[in-house]
Amino acid sequence: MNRRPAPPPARRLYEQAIALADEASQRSFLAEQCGDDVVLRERVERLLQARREQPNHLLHRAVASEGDDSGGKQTDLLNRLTHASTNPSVTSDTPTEIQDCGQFTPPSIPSYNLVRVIGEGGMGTVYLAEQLAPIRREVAVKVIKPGMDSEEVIARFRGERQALAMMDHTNIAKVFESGTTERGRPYFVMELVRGIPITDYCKQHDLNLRQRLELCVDLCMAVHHAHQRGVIHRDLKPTNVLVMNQDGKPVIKVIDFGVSKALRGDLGGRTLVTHGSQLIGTPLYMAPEQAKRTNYDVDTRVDVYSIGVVLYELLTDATPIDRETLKRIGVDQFYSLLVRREPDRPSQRVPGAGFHTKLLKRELDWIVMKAIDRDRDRRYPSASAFAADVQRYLDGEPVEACPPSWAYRFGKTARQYRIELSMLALLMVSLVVISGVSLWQMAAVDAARRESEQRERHAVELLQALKLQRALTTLQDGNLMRLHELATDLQSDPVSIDGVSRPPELTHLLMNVATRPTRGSFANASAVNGLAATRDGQRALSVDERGDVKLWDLNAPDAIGRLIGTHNEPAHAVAISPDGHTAVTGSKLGTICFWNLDDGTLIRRLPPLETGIETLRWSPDGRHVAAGARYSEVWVGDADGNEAFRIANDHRHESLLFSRDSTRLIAPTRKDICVYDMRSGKKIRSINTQPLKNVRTLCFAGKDDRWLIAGERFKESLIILDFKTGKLIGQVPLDTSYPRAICASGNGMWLRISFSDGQIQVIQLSPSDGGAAVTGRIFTKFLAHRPASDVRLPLASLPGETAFISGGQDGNIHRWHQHDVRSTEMRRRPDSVLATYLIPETGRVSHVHRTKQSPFTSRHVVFSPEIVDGVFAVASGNTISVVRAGDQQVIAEIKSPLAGHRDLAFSAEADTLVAGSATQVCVWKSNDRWGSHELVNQFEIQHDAPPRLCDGGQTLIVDDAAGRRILEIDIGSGRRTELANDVSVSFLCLDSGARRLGMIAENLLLVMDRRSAEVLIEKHQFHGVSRLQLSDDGTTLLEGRRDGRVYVWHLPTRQRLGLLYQPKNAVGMLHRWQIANQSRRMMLEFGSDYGGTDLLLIPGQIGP
Amino acid sequence: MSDITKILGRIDAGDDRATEELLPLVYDELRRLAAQRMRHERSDHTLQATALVHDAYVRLVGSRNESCWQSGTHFFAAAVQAMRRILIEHARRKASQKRGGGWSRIAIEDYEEQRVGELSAEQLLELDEALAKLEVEDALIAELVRLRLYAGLSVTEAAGVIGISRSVAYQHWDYALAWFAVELQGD
Repeated sequence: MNRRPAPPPARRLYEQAIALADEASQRSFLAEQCGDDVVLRERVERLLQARREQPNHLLHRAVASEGDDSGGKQTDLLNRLTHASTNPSVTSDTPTEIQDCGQFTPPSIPSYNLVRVIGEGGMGTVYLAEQLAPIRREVAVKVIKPGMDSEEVIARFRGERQALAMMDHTNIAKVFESGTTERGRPYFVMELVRGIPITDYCKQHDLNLRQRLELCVDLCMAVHHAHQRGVIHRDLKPTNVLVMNQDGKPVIKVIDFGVSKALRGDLGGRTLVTHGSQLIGTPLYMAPEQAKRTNYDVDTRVDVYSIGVVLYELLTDATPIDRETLKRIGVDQFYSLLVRREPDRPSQRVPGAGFHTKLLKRELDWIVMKAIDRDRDRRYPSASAFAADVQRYLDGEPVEACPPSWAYRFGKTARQYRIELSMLALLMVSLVVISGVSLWQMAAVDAARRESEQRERHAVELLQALKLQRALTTLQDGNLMRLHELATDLQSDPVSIDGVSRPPELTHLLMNVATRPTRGSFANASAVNGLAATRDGQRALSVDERGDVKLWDLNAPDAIGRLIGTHNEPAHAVAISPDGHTAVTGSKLGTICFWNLDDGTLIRRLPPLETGIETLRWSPDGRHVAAGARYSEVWVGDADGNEAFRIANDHRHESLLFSRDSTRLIAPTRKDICVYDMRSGKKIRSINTQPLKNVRTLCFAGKDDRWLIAGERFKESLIILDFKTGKLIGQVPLDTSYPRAICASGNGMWLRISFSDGQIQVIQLSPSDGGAAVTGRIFTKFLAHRPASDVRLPLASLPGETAFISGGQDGNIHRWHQHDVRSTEMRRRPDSVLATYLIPETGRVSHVHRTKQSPFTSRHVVFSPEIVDGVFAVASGNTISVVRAGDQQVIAEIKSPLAGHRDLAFSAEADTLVAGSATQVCVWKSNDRWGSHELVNQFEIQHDAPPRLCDGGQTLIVDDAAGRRILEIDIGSGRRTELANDVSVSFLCLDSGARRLGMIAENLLLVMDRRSAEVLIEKHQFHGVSRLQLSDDGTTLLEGRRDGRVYVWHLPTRQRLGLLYQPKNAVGMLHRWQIANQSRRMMLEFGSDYGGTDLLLIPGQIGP
Repeated sequence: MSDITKILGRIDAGDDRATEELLPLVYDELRRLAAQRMRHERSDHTLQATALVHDAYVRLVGSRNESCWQSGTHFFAAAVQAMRRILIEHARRKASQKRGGGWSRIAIEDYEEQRVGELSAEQLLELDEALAKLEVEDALIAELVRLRLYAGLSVTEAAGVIGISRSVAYQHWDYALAWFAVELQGD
């Protein structure tokens, strides 16, 4: 299939030609390409003509007759294509209406021939132009209007030019270059978009619901791209969202970032002025907060709103408040109406396209209404979140826009698994049949029921396999939120296997990867907005959404917080004095309160600041308190609440810092980080934050706080600055944008970062270049709290390097220990260690050290593979010792007749022990926990795989290497039964009931039912497998490969679901693995290159 | 069920003989399903390739994940052949009936078969002949058309089976339509 011949020339030319805009250019293209080959040229022209003139022929109809959605869509698409190419008004129309100026005197720009005006904006004129060099192409050139080149417009224009240049997205009109005309007017050259407004396009091409939503997703993602670069469009409306046909598909182009304004109001060294009193944009699509004339506080959510309105219009053919009403009542009234009244839901409007069914209505209503919520805090936090929800709708998954009811969720889940559903439908049919038959048909009914039960079970198994598979894919993607969701789903929806209903054991492991055990959790009655810890780490103080101030004893897990007092309105900021006696808290409405923590009394309440308090800091010397008020100022006072000075700062104050010596106050501004002198209250320094533009989060790190860490609103990275010099010395990539809180460990080498989605990432910093630079890597990340949009997830460090606390919108305060929160952990086994066991009950790691006392003296010892019932065994020389795992005391010594031991294993009850040399196998039994023992039997058998005991120590499963078969030997009688033949086996495994037997033979993976001999999985020509493990619940098989990868198989449906673990770096050969407590944790042992052993733990720690 | 899974497994492992064994299995299943439908529904019912092939897939390969195109490729290749055989047999039978039967019957069938979106037996045979011609000229496009026509796959699904991108498949499909338009115009 890979050696595909070159396409016939006719097809090649045809496919190139259809990409061209019109018939004329197709013709010239063919003339040029075909040269003298008249036959070829005629052939292609005939094909193209047929395409134009025969939109509906036999093949079309044949395929269109299929009841297939996508097939129909395809035909539809082609019809539209054909329609488009025969309708010149569509393809050659310019984005905006043509202005035919009589006295057209275009500005002169070198290398461009300005052809005609194609659009006129508030501040510029757009020309259709021909670029002459270096390549010939048609472009759009935007030049500032004559007579309007005021300072303000040029400043705004420069803003646009640079903002656009930063963006590179197929759905955003590209900027090729920029410059100034001979008369000094700035211009820039943009991609010429031959499209029409999205609303017109959808109408003209009669797009169905899905296609419209897909365009909406594209639009969201394009806008999100811009947002990530700090650019808000602020004027999204159908005439700025054009759609054109490209390669037969509708492609959107967002044009005219003309009123866009970088979030940081400074680009190209100039202030980007958006005139305070001038309303920019079109009221119909504009968010209510944009209407406030002093719109300093406009963020990316205004674009989310506008897209919401566009989607509203795509669904209903009308805007929430329509044009007529706007004309009638005027702009001011319009906005007051918008803010006062909730608009009709789309489904309440007369549907424009008539594609609404009952369910669709509801979900799309939720999505649209969330996007156009008057309160931006209730909107989607970002355009990508909006897109994700629309996509979820398209994928048939539950949308986030509303808490879904059980019935809704069930309906959606069922739809996600189409095949399985058809089986469930079959089941329904057979049930109906059963209800209608008479008695004499009972036998038939019985058979039918059995069949339907089987079908149902099969459907359920398939569903489980799909869910597990999805969870594994999510695991590889690192999307913890989704993984948590899926694991919860799997846990709450157990499948009955072998008559027992329980979630697959693998779910435990997946859940442990998404979440982590805490070292104490405290439940608060409302969302925790702010947290501070005392210096000794004994107590924490929280402020919450109710405004309550509570003190928590961190050493008393599950304790109830002591209520100190309340703001009676949401509070977000809290700080504790260094001596731990006093605290200060700040409310959303700007009130600051000082509290006596010892007796829980209010010391002082200050008159509210202009805006809400976001951050409070107590200086390390205890003498000052700084309070950051949202987008207004920083208030600084003494420890008694007497004002010292104020700093005006039109920025968020999600963090403030004091220098370690308390002489400096550090605050982020819109363009940099400012350092103030605490004595004078004057700014003494500013620190450049390039490449970050919108610093929100700050933290000191490194030895003696020498590094200043800054995080941004939109970038997915942190920067590390040398605080003394202000020099950029490092950058740390994050997995998510907008770190909301950062705290550093005591030694300054670890950062813990929180995100709105409930995630915490732990970053390890390390100096490089002899201290001249710093690098950082994500050590681990996990879901700590319930995701909530656009809130800060407060963090506070506890003393030492490893502990910290976090608070969430779920009302929880968690205490974390860094050792517990790793997902996978690679350890090198110390040289002094001979063996490592995972304690089955707890998942903790226990090393067997080499000691002077026997039997751990030599390296040449053989250990049993795992701890069974609290014991393990070790063979050295002619002695086998049974060792108590807890204190590693030898409880029995067995004299073995074997010449050299290769394998050693206990039965599941730990009362039978098997040992093997290459040619012999011995079995011992003890009835008094190895107080005494006897040799039960001894067999001459040459084997390659480690033998296994089962059936209460009655049966031995072992391979017969010479006879190429697998034997089941009754230990008492010595009777041999053949389980499989013609195989050379290198590894054998059993599940806990010894029902299923897994084996690795040369290039063969085989799992069989031991009793029925039914083959469950048979994979020939399957290389590279070194270990197998069957889960005890019979759902999964783990396949360990030599290169360290671990795959998961689903036994009921007999398919390989996907990767559980893939080593990031080359690891040695996988020797052994151990799995604790119903697959809650795994340990993999690799033989590494240096000769030792590396241990890998997934996930880091299991619960108590 | 395990038969076909095994065969698909062997094909995956590069066993060419397994491909030959697959076709009769798929053919039998499709024919059985088709016959079932014909019995239950009106005798002139046009065979819905999509539904049939998907049903056969669920029945034969059901326990595997549908998105597992690795084996899907082989399955659909066999399904296309089988389905073509069934459809053409069906069409031939109908066509011959028409020629041999009474005139009143022709009238009814003609009326029935001219419903939008359905093909008469002759039309199907005509398409199949054209397809044979396309096969010689451009095997790739022919494969695409066959998957669409006989296995009832969408362009996207067919792209997955052939192993080309969706957008390329759409281009090819565009070409296929034009090619057929020219071909069916007659000379």
